[in-house]
Amino acid sequence: MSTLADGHGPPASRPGVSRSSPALELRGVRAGYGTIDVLHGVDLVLHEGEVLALLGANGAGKSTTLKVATGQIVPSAGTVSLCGREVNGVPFDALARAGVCLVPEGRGVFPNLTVTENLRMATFTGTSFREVLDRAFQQFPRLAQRRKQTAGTLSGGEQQMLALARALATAPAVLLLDELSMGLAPLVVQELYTHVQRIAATGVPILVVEQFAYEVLAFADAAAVMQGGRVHAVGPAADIADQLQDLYLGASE
Amino acid sequence: MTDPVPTDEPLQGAAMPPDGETSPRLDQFRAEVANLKVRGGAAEPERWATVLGLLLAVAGVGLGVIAYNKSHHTQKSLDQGDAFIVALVAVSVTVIGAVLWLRNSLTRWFRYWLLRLVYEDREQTDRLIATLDRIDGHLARLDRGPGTAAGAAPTPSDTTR
Repeated sequence: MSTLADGHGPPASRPGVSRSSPALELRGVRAGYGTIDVLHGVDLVLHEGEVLALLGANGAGKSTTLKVATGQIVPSAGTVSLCGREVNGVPFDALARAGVCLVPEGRGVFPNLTVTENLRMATFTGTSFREVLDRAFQQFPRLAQRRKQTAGTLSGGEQQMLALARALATAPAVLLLDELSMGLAPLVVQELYTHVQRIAATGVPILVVEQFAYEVLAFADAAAVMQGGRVHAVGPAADIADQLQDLYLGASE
Repeated sequence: MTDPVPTDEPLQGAAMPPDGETSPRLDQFRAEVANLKVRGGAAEPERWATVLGLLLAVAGVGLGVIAYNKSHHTQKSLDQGDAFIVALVAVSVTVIGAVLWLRNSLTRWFRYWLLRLVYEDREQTDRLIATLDRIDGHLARLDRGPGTAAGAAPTPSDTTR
C-alpha cells in the first residue's frame, strides 16, 4: 500500500473533524463470500466529521468493504471498530439501530411500496413517522409531491433521493454510500452530491464508494484506492486526485 | 429532477460542532456502540450449528445402537438398566441434534429464499418499468409523426434510469 501522506487524517480545512478516535476503523480485514476471499487485509480509517472516498475498479472489493463495515459480512480475520470499540460479529440490525447507515448501490428502495411507505421503514430506529416525513420532505421537496407514487415508477435520480432521504431520516451517526451515481445522468449525480455535501457539512462521517472519482474527490477530505481486495493507496483527496490515473492504471507501482 | 436544491437551510437535527468537539449524535452513537453485545467474529454461525446438529443426531443414533447391543448381550438386569439409561441419553442427543440441524437449516434456507424473492421482485419491477418506458417512447414517436420514428431521441427517463 502506498501512502501519500502521513496517515490519512483529514485536513484541517473542514471544521469539526476529530483525530481523537476514528468513527470507523478496519484493521487487517479479510472477508469474502463462502470460500471465495475478496478482501485480503483491508486497513481503513474514517475519522469523525470526515468524508472518505473509497475508489477502485470493478471487483476491487469496495462494496464488500462496506458490507463488512455494516456487519452484513463477518470478517474471517481482522477487526472492525466503531469509536474504538471492536464490533466483529455484532448483527447488522443492531449496528443500523445504533446509527451505522448504508445507502446500497443501485436502487436502495422497495419498488412496490409508495414513497411514504418506503419512508415508514426508517421508523425502525424509534424516530416517529411524522418526524421521518418532515425531515425527508424538508430536504427533498420533490418527494413530497410524489408521496403516493410507487417507488419503482420514480426516475432513477428520485429513487436515489428517496434512499438518501430514508437514510437521513434515521439521523445516521456514520453514513456509508455505495455507488450513488450508478446508472444516473451526470447532472442528476451532481445534484445528489450537492445533498451529500450538505450532510457532510453537518459533521456526519461519510464513507463514499464511487466510480465517478472526480465528482467525489471535489469535496472529500481523504481518499483510498482499492485494488485486488487491498487498499493500494490512501491520502488527502487532492493528492489522490493528482495521481488517480497512475493509481488506476498501476503506473505508480 | 428540476427542483432547486435548498442549499441555504441547515439539515434538521444536525449542527456542525466547533473544532475539537464531537457532535451530540456521535456521543450518543459512542454510548450505543459501547452497549452493543459483541458475540465474536464467527462468520455464518448457522453453518456451524447445522454441522453440529447433524453430528449430534448421528452420534445419538450410534449411541442407541450401542445401548441396544449392550442390553441384548447380557442377562443381568443391572446392565440392562444401564443400557436403558444410555438409550434414553441417545434419544435425547438425537432429538437435540435434529432440532438444531432443522432450525439452522431452515434459517439458512429461508434467508436465501427471502433474498431471492426480493431480488426477483426488483428485477420484475425493473422489467415492467423498462417496458412502460419503451411504450412511452413509441407513443411519443407516433405523436411526433411517422417521419421521426427512426431517429427519435430517447425520452428523459431513459437517461436517468
